[in-house]
Amino acid sequence: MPLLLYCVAPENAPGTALAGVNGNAVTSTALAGLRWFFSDIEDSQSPRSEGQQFLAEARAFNAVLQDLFARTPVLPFRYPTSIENRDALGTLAAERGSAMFGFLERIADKAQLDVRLTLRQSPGEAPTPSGSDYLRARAGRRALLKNAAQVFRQAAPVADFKVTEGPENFRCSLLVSRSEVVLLLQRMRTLELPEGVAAAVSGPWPPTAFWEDESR
Amino acid sequence: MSARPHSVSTLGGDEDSEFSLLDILDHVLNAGVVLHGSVVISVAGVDLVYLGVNAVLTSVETALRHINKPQPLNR
Repeated sequence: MPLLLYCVAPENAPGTALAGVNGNAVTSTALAGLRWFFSDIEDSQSPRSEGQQFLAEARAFNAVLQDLFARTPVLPFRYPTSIENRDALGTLAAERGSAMFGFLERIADKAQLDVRLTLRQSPGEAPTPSGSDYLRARAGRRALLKNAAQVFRQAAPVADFKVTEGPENFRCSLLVSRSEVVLLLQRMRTLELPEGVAAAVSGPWPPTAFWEDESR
Repeated sequence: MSARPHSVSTLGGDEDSEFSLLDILDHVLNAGVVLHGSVVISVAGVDLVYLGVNAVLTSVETALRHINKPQPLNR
């Protein structure tokens, strides 16, 4: 029977009472020194859904991860990740378990905070008259975003920091101590950012931004 | 450079603040362990098959726009 994989956690991790995707029970098994969380899924319930059902599945998946993450370190699988059966799970554990075990040890007391930085469009902003003006304006916008990213990086002690630069926005991921998350979120609400920059902070998340997939 | 306070919003971290749907989708679809091989995912009635670990099907924002469109009648 196919399995929908949620995450791996330390072997002594507690379970969850939450129903998983499509109401399927979330169960777990211990392999390679880790606890693997999954749901048995019927073929008719394989993760290929549309529209609102897809959103409901994603919410249910996230709810399970957050419930577990509140009590134990977890390394989630990307949704939807399904494998053929429990034998395949055993093979997966043998191949990837060691790397996952090391990662969970490294982030055991950590959480991830995400910061999405965007630029507010000024009403009535004049279009740039030339290509070089456009490039200068674009460089200026990116400089504002870089400066804002540094504001967050310096806001608190972070174990690690990553920035992903998009065309018109930056995404920062901060690896922080779990015990400091509430304080950090409060502090971030009071940060002063460069004029025109808006920030949306979310978290705590499992530290997936700092998982290096060695199989790539 | 002038500074502007109160331009930071936070989600999560306390009981009164839920994650946005965009943040949830971004995390469950774009983050986490990826297994090699093929995964089929359907968005707005279109089956998209991708292989490998770095393929990007669509941005989460685009996926949300498709999902929230009125669904076509069944053929």
